[in-house]
Amino acid sequence: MRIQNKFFRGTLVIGLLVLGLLVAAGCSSSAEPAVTQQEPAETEQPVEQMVESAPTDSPEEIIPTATEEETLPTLPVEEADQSGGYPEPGYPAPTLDLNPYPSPEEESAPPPLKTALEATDPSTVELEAGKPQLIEFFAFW
Amino acid sequence: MHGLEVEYFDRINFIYLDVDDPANENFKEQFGFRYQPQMILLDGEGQVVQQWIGPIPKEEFVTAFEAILAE
Repeated sequence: MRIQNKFFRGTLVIGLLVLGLLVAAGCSSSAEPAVTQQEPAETEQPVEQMVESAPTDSPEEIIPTATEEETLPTLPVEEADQSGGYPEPGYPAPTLDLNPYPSPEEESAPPPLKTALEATDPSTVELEAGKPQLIEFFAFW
Repeated sequence: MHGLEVEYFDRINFIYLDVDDPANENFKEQFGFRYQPQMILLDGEGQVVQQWIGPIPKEEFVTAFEAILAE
């Protein structure tokens, strides 16, 4: 009888331990879904507040309007510059060159190649031009 | 003009006057035109520096150009 009582007690203790482990495992596995179920509840709460605070009666008019988009928080430019991420310190700031090509006044282009002799308009001839001139009298014949 | 215009276009004006154009009669009289081709080199004040009549080698023009540009 004593042997049977010891065997019974041993199995009972083992059974309680197994049962405790199962209960602990069940609690740990059921705790994670509970967290995920709470998150949608938190996100849905502002929507309900919007509906309650909306002055309109129909839910179709709750669609965000342009005035609501304008009030969205934006990062000020000054704060973006003070972030320190860009530009890197010591790096030369880019400069905007509005005139990358030389103007005709700065650098005169060579005259186009003449395939045939062209006469100069006599009305444009100025003998005192301020620089040397070569005058050539020619005929087309 | 021997391809000299491409080389000297920014320092020397090249003027080509048609002897058959009546509008050039005053220039023909002023510079004593005789027959073509006739070339006349002027300084910045319009004074005649040198004249050539007939076909002239390129080197002669280059010498005259460099001389007047060096002044």
